[in-house]
Amino acid sequence: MAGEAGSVISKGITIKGNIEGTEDIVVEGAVEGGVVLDSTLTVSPSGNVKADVSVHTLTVEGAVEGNVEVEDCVLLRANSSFKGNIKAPRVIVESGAMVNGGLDMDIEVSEG
Amino acid sequence: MSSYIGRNIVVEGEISGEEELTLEGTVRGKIAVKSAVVINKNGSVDAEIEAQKVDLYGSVKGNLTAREKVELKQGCRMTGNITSPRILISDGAVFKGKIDMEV
Repeated sequence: MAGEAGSVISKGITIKGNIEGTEDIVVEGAVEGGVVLDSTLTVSPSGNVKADVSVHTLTVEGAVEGNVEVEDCVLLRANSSFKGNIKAPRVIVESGAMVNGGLDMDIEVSEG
Repeated sequence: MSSYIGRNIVVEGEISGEEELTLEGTVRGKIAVKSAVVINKNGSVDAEIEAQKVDLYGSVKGNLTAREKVELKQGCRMTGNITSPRILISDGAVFKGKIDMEV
């Protein structure tokens, strides 16, 4: 939500389970399970997310493994790693990002 | 840097680690950290809590074990049992449960 400071899962913290909410989360630690947000999830360089993720915007600087559904945009930064499937209208992969999996930008590809 | 779970976040599951944890949102499940847990006024925890130290301003339903100290602050609500060598209960704190200081 606008004006909210947002949540931080710091480096020494692990969450196993489901996270749900309406404000931005920065993961510097570890998350295993599921994340559902109508806001932005940022995975920092030290962050490790093994979860099915459904968010508005996803920025990955660390590691993400799982199936990802994003309403707006996925940004895989340089030195990030991603394993799994992404479904999003916009996906940006920077040079140096490691990607292993499927991408679905939900567009009809006309043949011929 | 400590961890912060904001007001509009719900965590269902287990939170563990070494870092300090400040809660303003909702947690259901279990919390086991090696440092302090601060549950702010808007924080609501339906979980078993294990920590070095717990400061409670919000509400907790569940058993609480602290290795050092538990502080129930004015306006907090707590249902469950507390195990801790030191316990402080402020005027205006609401508590239902057992206290065990024999750690």
